[in-house]
Amino acid sequence: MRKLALPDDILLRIEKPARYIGGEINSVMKDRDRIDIRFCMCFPDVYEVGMSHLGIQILYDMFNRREDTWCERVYSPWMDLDPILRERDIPLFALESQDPVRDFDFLGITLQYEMCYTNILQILDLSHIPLYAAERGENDPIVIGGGPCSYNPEPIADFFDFFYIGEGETVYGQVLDAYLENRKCGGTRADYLARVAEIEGMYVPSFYETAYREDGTIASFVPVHPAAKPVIRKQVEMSLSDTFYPEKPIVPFLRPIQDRVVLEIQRGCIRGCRFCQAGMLYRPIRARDIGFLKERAKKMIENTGQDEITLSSLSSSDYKELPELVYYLIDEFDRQKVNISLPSLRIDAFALDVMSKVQDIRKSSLTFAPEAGSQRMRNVINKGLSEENILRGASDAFRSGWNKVKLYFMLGLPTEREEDIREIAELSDRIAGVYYSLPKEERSGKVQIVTSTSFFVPKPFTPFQWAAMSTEEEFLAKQRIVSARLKELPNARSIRYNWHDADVSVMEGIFARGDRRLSRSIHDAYRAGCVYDAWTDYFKYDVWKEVFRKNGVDPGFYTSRERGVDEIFPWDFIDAGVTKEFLRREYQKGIQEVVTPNCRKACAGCGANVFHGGVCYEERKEDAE
Amino acid sequence: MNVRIKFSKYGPAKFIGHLDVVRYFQKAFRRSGLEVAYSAGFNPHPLLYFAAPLGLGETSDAEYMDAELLSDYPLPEIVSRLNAVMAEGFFIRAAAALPQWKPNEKKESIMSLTSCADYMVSVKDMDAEQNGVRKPYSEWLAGLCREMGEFLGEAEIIAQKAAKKGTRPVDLKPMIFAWGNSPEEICASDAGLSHADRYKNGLRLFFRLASGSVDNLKPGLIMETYCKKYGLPYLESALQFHRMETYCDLSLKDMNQEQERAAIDAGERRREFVPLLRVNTLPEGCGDDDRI
Repeated sequence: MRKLALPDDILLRIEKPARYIGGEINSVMKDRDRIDIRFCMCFPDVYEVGMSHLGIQILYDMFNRREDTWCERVYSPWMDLDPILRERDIPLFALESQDPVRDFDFLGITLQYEMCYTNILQILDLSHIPLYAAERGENDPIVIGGGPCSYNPEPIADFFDFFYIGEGETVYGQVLDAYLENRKCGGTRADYLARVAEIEGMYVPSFYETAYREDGTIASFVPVHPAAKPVIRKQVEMSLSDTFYPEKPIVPFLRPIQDRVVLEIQRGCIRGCRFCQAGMLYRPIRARDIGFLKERAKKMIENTGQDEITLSSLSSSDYKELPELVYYLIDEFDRQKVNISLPSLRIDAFALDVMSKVQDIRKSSLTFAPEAGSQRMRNVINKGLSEENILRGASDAFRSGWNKVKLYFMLGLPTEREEDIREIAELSDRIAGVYYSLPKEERSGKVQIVTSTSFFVPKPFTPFQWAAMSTEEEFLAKQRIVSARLKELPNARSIRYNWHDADVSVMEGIFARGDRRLSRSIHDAYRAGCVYDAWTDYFKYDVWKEVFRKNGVDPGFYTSRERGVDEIFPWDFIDAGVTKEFLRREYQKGIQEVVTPNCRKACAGCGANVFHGGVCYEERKEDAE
Repeated sequence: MNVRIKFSKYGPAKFIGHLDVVRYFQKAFRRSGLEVAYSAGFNPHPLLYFAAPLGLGETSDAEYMDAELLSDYPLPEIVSRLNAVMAEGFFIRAAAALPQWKPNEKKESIMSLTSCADYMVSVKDMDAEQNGVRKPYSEWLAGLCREMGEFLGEAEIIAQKAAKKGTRPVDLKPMIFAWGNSPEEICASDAGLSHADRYKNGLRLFFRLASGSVDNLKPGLIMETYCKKYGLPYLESALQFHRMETYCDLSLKDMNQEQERAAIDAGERRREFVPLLRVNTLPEGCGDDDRI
């Protein structure tokens, strides 16, 4: 039986000790004496959040298939354990072996959102690993970053030895082989990084130097090491039906945020919404074979005992064989009482039929993401959802018995005017109106509409990467326009309005398009007590503002500044497939309110065809929906 | 078929809370392929019933649950199929068949059957501090075995029990059925110690205590009250509580809660303790319990 890293008196003093004991069903134990590489995967947030992430499950399974490698996991200790670890000087440990993380060969950290950056430093600090990569020695683990935020790794570049840019299935084998090879030759840490830099998709930040102009923008970004490539091409797994995907995902004892089996049906998106980073980063869209999915779904349910399966993709309705897959799953799992959840589904006849089979209509709600209130604004962002679609979908759903609707919008989109903002309230009201226009016998009680707005944060590798983001004051003014307009409308009492915090959005904006000069501030904020910034209760905006001031960082430089056409972005060294020319073209079309058809209708020439597959090589149809 | 299952919970699993154990077993049954019946309605849940929740940090060799299965299986197969899908720290010890419940018949819940449990309290090899003095907890409690006789020999043992608002005084005496320095002294079998942790200092005590929804006494409360009375530090995390067996009192078996309360208060309880595995179950059982 394993011996736990934490003594009983600590485990009995903290909340949810099961976060730190490992030993979950399908977690992997190996004999540490017969292993060459010890890899620790980290999701820098609390266990229940981290355990809900599919990416780590895929990589965990992939690494552990290698006989010479043992992959384990670590998550952020919660705020009750953090001070105890410091006081008692207990180094942070991996869940499986309970061994200190600092004794591992690798620490791989997934970067899912900007607000986890201080948690990365907490993990390193509690592991007794030097925070800055430059200060690490031969015995410290190699710290790797990956995931969506590594498409602009510059704000946290100083803390990582290297970044894996793109999808993990492709070249991790080479990364590990190079490590063994380097060790065999008696190579140093620096020698290994030089080897890594030769592998496609690997970015070693210490091998590059940035020079700045007087106005603060980048003058040049150049390799200063012979092994460093000027451009790093993102990694893409082109054969999604013949690659790593866990048959035995780990089943936590504690209830995670996503307490279900996840079936990723496709990667990428054909829609080309101009605000959406995932839609651009994961191009081209690649679907998994339906046979592969059916088989994996069955195996994962058998091996986990989970009672729910969710289909995951950016836009499930664009999976061509969705009806066949969904009806198969309903058939297969109905008797076993396995629930099926279908997020990101376009509301149409098929969706309503399926949802009436898999959900309790009286309890569940329908979700629409128009993202913008007016048609003009939706054309700017290229969101191909017309008001007619929304109202017809809502009307059909109401007639089928639903009476709860969730609506998602963004405030602060480029070119936004006051009337666009008011339209958010008005569209919500019109949807409620559709309900009350039904004959009374077709309604079931009152309609409940929840309208939510988030603040738009421009992201790298989107057409809006040049755009100015609204300031905190502007955001709050916009949100007040929605609130005020809602109150004037006839169905105001059926509509609840939620909005996001503006201060967190501003922080996200700074990091999303930030550069290397921010590392110092992130470090200082962490030292000043910032951690778990993604959690409202722990987010200390005042501390962050003070740290920026002391370091001479002007947040507005990163957020509310419209970038020039020729500006060199911190992330320009990454080749994500989509070209800067395409993104610029899309930005201009957006401002002119011109819509770009989806990838199945017509090729927009984004550049993702360099990966030789996916939708880029399918036959196109003018009438594709 | 309806089946009663006895399992052990030990090692790192002692840090998994009761509700998570329930969820764990729902999933374990699904993995085992033993099909559990579900409740009706829009949010059907698997029909598994647990006897007495075990506190966080406690270990046990006598956890019980009843399960309604959709088909019949040989009992050894139930045990082996479940053991094949257990996580570290869980072990299925035994299974016994329950008679088929008649439609509309009120089921005797395993929770209401429970009225007594045996515990071992061990002192961990840990230090404790009081008034600036720090030494092994077993040294603080060196007089435990001698003083416990004195302490429990009093006519009443008044303790402060946690209540909805603050605490209220309760007399522990009627809830302590037996105690001693060995399992034999409380009439318990060694089988109840198979997954118990052992500590170098060897200091341990055994208790047979009221357990269940009418009267419930946790061994920690006895230890806390004892420590208070003798001016010793009470360090709950330095004590390991281990449940050895869980019983039904046959003299209270067919009563509801009020009747049970009245019978206990009137001194009519006859203390006819039978392990839950042998209450209501059919004679042929399967597992480690020699007296099934």
